Amino acid sequence: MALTHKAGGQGGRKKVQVSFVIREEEEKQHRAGVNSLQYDPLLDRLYSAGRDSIIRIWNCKNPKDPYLQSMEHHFDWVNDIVLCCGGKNLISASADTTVKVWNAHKGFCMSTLRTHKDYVRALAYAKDKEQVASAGLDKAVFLWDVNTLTQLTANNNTVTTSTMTGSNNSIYSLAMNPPGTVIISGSTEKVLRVWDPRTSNKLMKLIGHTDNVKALVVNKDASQCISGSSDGTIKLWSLGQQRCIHTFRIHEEGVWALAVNESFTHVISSGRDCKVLMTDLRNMSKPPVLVCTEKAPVLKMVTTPDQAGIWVATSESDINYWALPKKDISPVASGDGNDSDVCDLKPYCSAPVFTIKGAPAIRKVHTLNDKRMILTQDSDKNVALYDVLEARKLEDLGQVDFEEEIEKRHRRIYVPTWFNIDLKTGMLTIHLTQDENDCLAACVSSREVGLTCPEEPDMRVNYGTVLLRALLEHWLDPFTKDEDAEIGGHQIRQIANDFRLVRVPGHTPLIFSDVGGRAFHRLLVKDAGGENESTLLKETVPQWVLDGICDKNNPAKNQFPKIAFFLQPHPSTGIKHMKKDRLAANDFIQMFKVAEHVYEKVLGSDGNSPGSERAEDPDNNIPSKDRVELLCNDEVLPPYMDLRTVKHFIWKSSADLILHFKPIKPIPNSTQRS
Amino acid sequence: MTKVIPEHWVLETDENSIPPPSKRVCLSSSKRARSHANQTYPKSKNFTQQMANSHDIGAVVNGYGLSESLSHHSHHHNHHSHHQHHHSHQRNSSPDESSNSDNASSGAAPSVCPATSAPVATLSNLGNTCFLNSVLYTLRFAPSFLHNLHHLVSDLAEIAGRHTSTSIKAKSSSLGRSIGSKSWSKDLPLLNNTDAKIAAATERLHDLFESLHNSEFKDQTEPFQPEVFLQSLRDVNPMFEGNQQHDAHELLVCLIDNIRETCRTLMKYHEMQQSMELKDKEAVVMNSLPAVTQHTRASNNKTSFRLKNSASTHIKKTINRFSRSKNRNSNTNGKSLLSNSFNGKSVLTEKQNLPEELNVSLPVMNGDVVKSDQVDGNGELDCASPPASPDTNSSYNFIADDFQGVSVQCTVCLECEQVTQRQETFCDICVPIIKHDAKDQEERVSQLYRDSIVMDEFLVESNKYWCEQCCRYNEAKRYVEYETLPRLLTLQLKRFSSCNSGVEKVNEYMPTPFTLDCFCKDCSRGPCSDSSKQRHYYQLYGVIMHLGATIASGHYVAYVRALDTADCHAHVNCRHARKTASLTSAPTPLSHPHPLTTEKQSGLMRFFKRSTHQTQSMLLNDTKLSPFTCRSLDCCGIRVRNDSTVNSVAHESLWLECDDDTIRTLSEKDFREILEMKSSKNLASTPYLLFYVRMNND
Repeated sequence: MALTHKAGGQGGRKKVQVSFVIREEEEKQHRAGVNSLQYDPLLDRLYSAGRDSIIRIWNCKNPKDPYLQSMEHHFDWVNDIVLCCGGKNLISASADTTVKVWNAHKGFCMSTLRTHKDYVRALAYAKDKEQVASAGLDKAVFLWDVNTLTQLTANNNTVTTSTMTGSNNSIYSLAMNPPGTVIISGSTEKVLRVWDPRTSNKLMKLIGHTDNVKALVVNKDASQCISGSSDGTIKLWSLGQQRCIHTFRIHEEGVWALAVNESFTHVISSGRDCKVLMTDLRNMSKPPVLVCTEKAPVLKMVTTPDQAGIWVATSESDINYWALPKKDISPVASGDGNDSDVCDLKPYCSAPVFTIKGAPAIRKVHTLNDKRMILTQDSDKNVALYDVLEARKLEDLGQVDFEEEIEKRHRRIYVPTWFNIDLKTGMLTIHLTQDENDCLAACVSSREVGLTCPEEPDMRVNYGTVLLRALLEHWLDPFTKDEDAEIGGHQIRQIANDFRLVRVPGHTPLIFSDVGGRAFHRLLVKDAGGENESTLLKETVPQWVLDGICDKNNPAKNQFPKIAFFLQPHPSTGIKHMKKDRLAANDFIQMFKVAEHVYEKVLGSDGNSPGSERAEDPDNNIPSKDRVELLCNDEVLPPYMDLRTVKHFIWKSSADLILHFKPIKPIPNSTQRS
Repeated sequence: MTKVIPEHWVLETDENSIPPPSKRVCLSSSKRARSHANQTYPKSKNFTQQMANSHDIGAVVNGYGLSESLSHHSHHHNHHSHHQHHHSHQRNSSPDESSNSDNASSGAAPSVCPATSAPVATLSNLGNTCFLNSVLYTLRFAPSFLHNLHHLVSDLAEIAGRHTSTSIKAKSSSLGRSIGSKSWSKDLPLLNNTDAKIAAATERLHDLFESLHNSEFKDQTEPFQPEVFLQSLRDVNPMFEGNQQHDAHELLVCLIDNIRETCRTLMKYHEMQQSMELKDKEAVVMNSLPAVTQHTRASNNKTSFRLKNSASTHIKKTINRFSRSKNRNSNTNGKSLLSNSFNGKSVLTEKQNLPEELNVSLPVMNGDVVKSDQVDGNGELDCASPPASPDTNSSYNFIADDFQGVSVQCTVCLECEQVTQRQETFCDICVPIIKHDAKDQEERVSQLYRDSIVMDEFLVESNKYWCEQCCRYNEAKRYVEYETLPRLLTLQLKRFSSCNSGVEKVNEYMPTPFTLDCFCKDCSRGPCSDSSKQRHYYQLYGVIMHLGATIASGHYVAYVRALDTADCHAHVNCRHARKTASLTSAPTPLSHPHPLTTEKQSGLMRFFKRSTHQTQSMLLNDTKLSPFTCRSLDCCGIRVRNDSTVNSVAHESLWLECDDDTIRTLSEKDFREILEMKSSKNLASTPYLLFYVRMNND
């Protein structure tokens, strides 16, 4: 894959891409890490924001089976969440550049804010004012009034927001005090910027860190704040004096998560070094207590209000709940030494109180040559087989050798690549575009790929077309009944015939976005027929998709990719062939067709014996295609192999393809002249 | 790019004189007035042919286009005046050029200039070749460069079976070679055409420096015409064909590349020779003939004194190599080598499979098994070294040490903070032009450079970084760490920028630091602010300045720190040095005193701290150099004639302003003033390439 991201559509023309996720209907477990957590003490529930784009709700009263619900609407990492209005609403920020407002109790998305232009990385909450601020890699900080947000409807859909200006770098952390009198941002600028959110005035800059600042907490009266940085240090700042009071060098690597108690006496910190440390702020020379050591870098921590325990989210998919030591505890050294060096500390907990288990994430992927089947390997080394066309998993192969499986399934077929695979959510996301891999480039023989039965006539089938139709099936369905229905200049009804070659699961999420990753619309395949969705789709579905679906009417349909080749008698036959035409045919044409052509047109026209032979041949029921065999590079070609496969696997050169033909002598039982 | 229209002045010449080659004038786009004091002939393309013709006539022709007999006569110098670019007060202070100012206005008659001339040999402009001259000057004055180049070339010559001695006789043959007739590079066996051309170009470069040395030696004042070298360079790099101006940096890169390739060729030969020698040794063992020891030193002059010390170690070395390469099977062979050897016999290698170079000199001591750690007095031999090591080869790949560094590009994903590294070798560092404060102190300037070189880059927005760990595009920070920095560090200021009309020159002023804190990884790891704690720093020894609107037009001038190679540390401690004084070891005591005047010595003190005691001894032994002198000194070294009246403060160095064939001395103070000139877009004389040499912090 290229190391640098290609710039989005040039000249303002946004190419819309269609994506879908191959998954089960219910995905009860996180995959690929959890970015943020929020705890609702009233209902004893935990909300977790996953890198798999799903926010899940867990019942803490039932540790054995805590799963309650999934809130799915984002389609990229959910980076941060805040619970507002006493737990009634949830605000989420995602790398898909949107901020979403949710009904937390019922678990559905109420509205989407699209003001950010890049990944939204952090949220801050001022509880007393019910204000939420969002900030991200686009350097913008927006302040939202939650009550206004929750009252948004389709008709009343404007929101005013104030912005904190002045940030010149990507923002990675944000904090507000409950009364909402200060807002602090941490960014790659390494400097903390402080504003007054009530006026948007810049208050101060706190200078001291030497790397990105990824964690921030501020106390109630905004007199102090604590920051954790990728430089490995934690700094305690006095906002009144505008300077750093103390620097804690207790971590070996970047500090990514901070949790502080309400009285601001103890701060719990963690990060890339996986160690969860609790530091006493009243007694700063006292070494920290090692609460526990996680298995992966820690991204977020939330404590229960009574400080009895702490929830820890990491870059792996398990969420652990650890017991917190009493605040006056002393650090315990594991060795004999008196030094409470962080490395020697014995953890307070050696095991979590309980764990919300996550699922492995798909880490490796290989598309087989037929460009339809995909082999995957996840973080637990399980291998599985998927069918892209039907958007489902075919088989779990267990912990077999990935490379071996690829080898096993190698076939000599050449089909152009027509989709892209994305693993950022830990699940298989398939992107269909017309950019580098043209979605509509793969034409195959329907019989060969098993889309039609052998009895039925063979059709030329375009994978992209078939899949797009299947994804939009529910949307298109009503139109086919309407004779005059027209969309994008195409008569829908005429495509009714081969409409349902393939079906995809209804729960498959379907996403329309631009190539840069900004979301337009997400829905489930089965919901595409609903009235609202249908209208929305009419606006969202790009023209190229419509063209692709209705390819029967597509004027470009006849411009399939063609391959040029020479057809010559094999030297061993001794047939002298005068014509040396350079022929061209569609790239998916199969060899038996070429054989037919050879028999009927080439051999026949030469006036050689085959012509007269046919007349006299009692076995003239042998089909023409079986009378001639074709060879390339002296290899006999199977009759159902197509031209582009021959070129790619057997010919292998970029020079024009040369096919040799050889008449097949029938079995000597028949009375035939040789 | 401006089109250059050469102007020629046709004059009557003396009947006896051999027609000198035509000189073409370099015009910059700034349209300076020039004195066209040159004696030319009608434009002739066949320069080399002319030279050849004059050679036929029988006079000894050197690259000066004049016969030696004429060297004292007509001094038709072509002096370019730089009035518009130098403050008048500076002009007046250098009496050397006072004659020029008289000629400034006249564009008509040639001027006859007095014999006082530049402190070192000069190069003339062949028509837009100031890019070449400025680079040649810089390389000449690069510390130890001449020394290393000399040994490279002499070792190769040896392989080809010819010797480069510094005798007068050889000189003329070297002159003969430089005229384009048979050269040893063509005699190198098994060399493909490209490599042969590259080796030839390197040889010509050395010849050029040799000629410059000779002219200093003989007090000639005519500028040397580097036509022959240019031709050989064009053979290798055809882009330098034609009369256009080129980018000096590009030329420098080509020259370095060529020399590097030549070094590789030499190494190849050493290896080839070793393997042949091994084969031969086997044959020897079979036939009970005496051992053949590789003789890698330059000349035949061997005395018994030397043999006594080094012979045994030579043998041991051979055996080591032998056994190592034969996978330890040859130990027995090695020993039998000794036992079967003869005493005191030299074996000539007329054998077919051996290259000519194996003219054996050393007899094998019978039964003399030597300890492997026995090393020669002057550190010449290192027996423990592997066959292809730098120490066994006389001319290792000095380009690598001198000019190449290793940079490591680190990319950090800002999400998972995983660091990905990519190593690269580099020959120079490009420095972006940045805004600065004009009143900056030296340390601040040095820090400014350092900061811009090791600047962080962020991959953001649409240019995000694909992180393998996160399986997505994330922001990333990218920075470069310098694993090792070369001894000779070259900085190229980013003075070119592409815009709509092509490539434009950025004339923005950028200060030039005279010292740079080292920013290699080891030095940066320590307390950055405390530069005195670093192990080494870099000192400026050369600047190539550019005047003009684009980099590939205009005019180049080189400024170099005056360096007399007699002071040079490398020559004194050269591993190739003879223990006996060579024939012409002393510079001529005839016309001028030894260049090491006290003033000069103190001026160069700062530069060569370590060699203090040696230079002292040289001072004392005026006519006899210390026994450990390197041949290169006599062949292609530099001799600075310091009779200028420039007052240089005792502790400062002397600088030379080299503008084609006009060279004058400058005090460091003067030079600083030149560098600090802030120019508007029209007077666009800007530093372009900066050259630093690494100095150790004592």
